[in-house]
Amino acid sequence: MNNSLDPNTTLRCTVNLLHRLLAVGALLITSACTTVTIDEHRTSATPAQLSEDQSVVVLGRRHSSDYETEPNLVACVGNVLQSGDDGVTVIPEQEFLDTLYPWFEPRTAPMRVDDLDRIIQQTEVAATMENYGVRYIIWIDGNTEKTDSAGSIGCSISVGGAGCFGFGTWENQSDYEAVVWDYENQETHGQISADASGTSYMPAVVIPIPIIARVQNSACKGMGEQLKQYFSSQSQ
Amino acid sequence: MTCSILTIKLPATSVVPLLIIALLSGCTNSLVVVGNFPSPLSTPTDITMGVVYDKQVTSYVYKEESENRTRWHIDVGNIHKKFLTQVFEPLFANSIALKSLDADLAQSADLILLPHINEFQYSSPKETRLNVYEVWIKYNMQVYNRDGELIADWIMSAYGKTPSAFLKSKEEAMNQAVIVALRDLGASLTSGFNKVPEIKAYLTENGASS
Repeated sequence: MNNSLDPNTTLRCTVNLLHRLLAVGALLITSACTTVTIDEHRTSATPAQLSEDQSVVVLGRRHSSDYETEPNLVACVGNVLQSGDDGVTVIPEQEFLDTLYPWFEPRTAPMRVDDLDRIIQQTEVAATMENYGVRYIIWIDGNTEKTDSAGSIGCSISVGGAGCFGFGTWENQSDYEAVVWDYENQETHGQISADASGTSYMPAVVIPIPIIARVQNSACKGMGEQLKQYFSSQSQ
Repeated sequence: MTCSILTIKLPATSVVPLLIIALLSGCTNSLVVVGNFPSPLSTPTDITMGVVYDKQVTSYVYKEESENRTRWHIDVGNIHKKFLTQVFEPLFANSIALKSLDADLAQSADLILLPHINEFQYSSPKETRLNVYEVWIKYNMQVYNRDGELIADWIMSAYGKTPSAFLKSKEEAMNQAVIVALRDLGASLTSGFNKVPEIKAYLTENGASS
């Protein structure tokens, strides 16, 4: 009796096995969880007034020497803020920084709302802000970092095959604060903070299967939705 | 999380060529800095500024020779000329490029700037345990009047870091850090050039508005 499988059957078996592994991996990836805490503090008595021709800009703080607010987090919050029917017009960060160069660079950016006056004394800056219809400037300060890790994974390759074995785990922590400046009235309008944490796992039995806690993404969505609510509820 | 060293079993004949490739490619990181910059948003000062693009700046290559650090050859010269031209054009009513201080053309400028790179430093994630590359550039700026007299001489520094070195090659990350440092230099020049006491005094004396 011939026990060997024909090449097509072997290929189908391999593809099936891969599909199953991917399905299990996808299931495990989606099951990793994060905890998000959002706090909101409104400092202005006047409600947010955002007409259709007005916009907001979301900017990251980059003045600290040991961390930098990630551009992808800033872009993510902007995307959440402008999504849906109740979304607001958001100017992309890099476009804003380039158009108003160098007045929002780490060296020159206003640290307090009172410093805005110094910048808009430049007639070109004031005109560009008006062209954009900027009403609110949202400054995001913070970052996501790995706070703890444990375990080890060993991998080896030989002529006969390759594989990994072991278990690794690590914890990520996000800590962000968004400060909303009212550009028209030159006052701090409110603050929203987002703290998120989550533990990721990577068991490896031949193939490493990452079970990732998307901590930064959760902080972004939480903060973006809260900001959207902040503007929509105050505009009513 | 730690990973054990990869165990690779290969036929002996393929080991020697692999070792040669590893030795040739793994010794030095070479980088010619490239990038684009926005033009500064500024009210031009009503003078003609000559900028000397000396070879000391336009051919500046940083070479890391330390045995304890990764070998780097970073060519930051070319990008400086492109960058300074773009910064100075909107800052002054007229801006002219000069090859040296002695050029006859220098006579047609009200002020002549002679920038020098004094020092270039960097740090890598391996050294700082932060996931960023950092770059510091120290400049000596000298400004002469049209008679060739030195009227201002000061030190400026520029700092840049990559937002994150994650998923970037060493060269890409270093390039980005240099570009951020140059943007910082541009911010410094735009907001501070006319505030240098000697230049401020010259502009006031000569009734040049900004």
